[in-house]
Amino acid sequence: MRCLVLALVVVAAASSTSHAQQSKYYELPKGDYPHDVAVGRNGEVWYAGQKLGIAGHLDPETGKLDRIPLGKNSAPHGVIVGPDGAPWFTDGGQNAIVRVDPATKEVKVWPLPPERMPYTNLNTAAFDGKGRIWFTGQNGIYGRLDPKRGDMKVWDAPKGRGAYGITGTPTGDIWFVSLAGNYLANVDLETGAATVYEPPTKDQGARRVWSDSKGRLWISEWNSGNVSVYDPAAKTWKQWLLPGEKPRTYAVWVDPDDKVWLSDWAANAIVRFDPASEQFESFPSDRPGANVRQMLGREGETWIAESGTNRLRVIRHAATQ
Amino acid sequence: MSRPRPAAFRGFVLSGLLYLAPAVVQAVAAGDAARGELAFQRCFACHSVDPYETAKLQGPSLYRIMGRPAGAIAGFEYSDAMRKKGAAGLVWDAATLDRYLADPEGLVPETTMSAAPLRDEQERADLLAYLARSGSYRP
Repeated sequence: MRCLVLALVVVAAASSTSHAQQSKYYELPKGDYPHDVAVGRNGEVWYAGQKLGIAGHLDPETGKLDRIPLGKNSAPHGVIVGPDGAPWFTDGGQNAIVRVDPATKEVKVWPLPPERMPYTNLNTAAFDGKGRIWFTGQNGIYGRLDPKRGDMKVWDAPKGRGAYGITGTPTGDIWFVSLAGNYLANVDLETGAATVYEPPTKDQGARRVWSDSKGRLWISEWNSGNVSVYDPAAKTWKQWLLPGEKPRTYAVWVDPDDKVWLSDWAANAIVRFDPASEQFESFPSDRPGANVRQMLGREGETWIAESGTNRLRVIRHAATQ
Repeated sequence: MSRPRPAAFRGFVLSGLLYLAPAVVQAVAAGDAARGELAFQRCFACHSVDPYETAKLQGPSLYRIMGRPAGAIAGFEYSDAMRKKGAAGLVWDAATLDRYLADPEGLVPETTMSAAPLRDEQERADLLAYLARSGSYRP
């Protein structure tokens, strides 16, 4: 494990509205390639160093960075912080779910059943309300691991390849989307059966999904450039096209104030959408080609993995009204 | 995960071998196409070698990739990085594909392909042998 102290660049900016915000950028060691990022309850930050097979652990206050090798052939795509406070990785290279103990840095690996498929292109994970971690594999699977029992189950995704983003709702339900399959799906937590919901826009390319505080599912649509929302209670859809020329909506995260954060590759920007006013607010990167594939955050902080510039970015913002 | 393919596609795969240039045949000879089909699972989410593929995938078709200039499929939205490489003369053959699989950013800086480097030399050779089965590029 290597420890480094990172250079920090702070950019304060007045956004297009009255809400103060400040961006900070953390340059990572060459080649780390942060695909996904997550922040824990105490503000500690983890990222998936996909191309080097490492877990990155950043202290945002000091800039101190630990880089923890996850295993031979590791190539982690996603990372979330679980209810146990530990980072959990979807590791495509090892075809496994991987946990790093935040105190001891011990790495524990749960491989997927090899007889099913040696490589499922593991994508993203989310916890249900019973402490079980659900995951997607872009080659066309989704699955569930009970870490306490070590029990893992894997199912074929509807329409084959494409299973991508996944999210848990406040009530513990699990939903995922399919990029190639162009759908949103809800899984039965016990049988694993998936029920498909088709967004109104044909071939929209549903890439990632996140739940708001009311259990509504917000979806970043890569092909259409939309952000859409499905309300399971009302069984209704709505969608909005992001601003600008041919937007490409990649990442989505909904903050505790139910503001919707998105990344737009065409604009090279993070975009915040206010569902109440239906207005977008843009936070461009200070370098071209940020290629933000995912973001997560907590109250007042949105953490962003800039895979294209090999940096982490945080936007600190006052809670909106 | 392999899906049944039309009989016509199987014909393409077999006859494709006839169209390979001698240098490509030599370069991929070290690989095992059967193992390469398994290795292709790493690419499967975003790419297809099926000429009849109907899914809108994130990566370009790899059907008859050998000999194809980078960024050459009409209508596919390549990254600026890949378009520039194509304009600069990058052509996909066994050597360039091997380099790209081993270190995507090294060959095409700022590529948007997010696949991790494929470090195993034999696995790359197997994958190339599999890709070569569909034959060489014909504009």
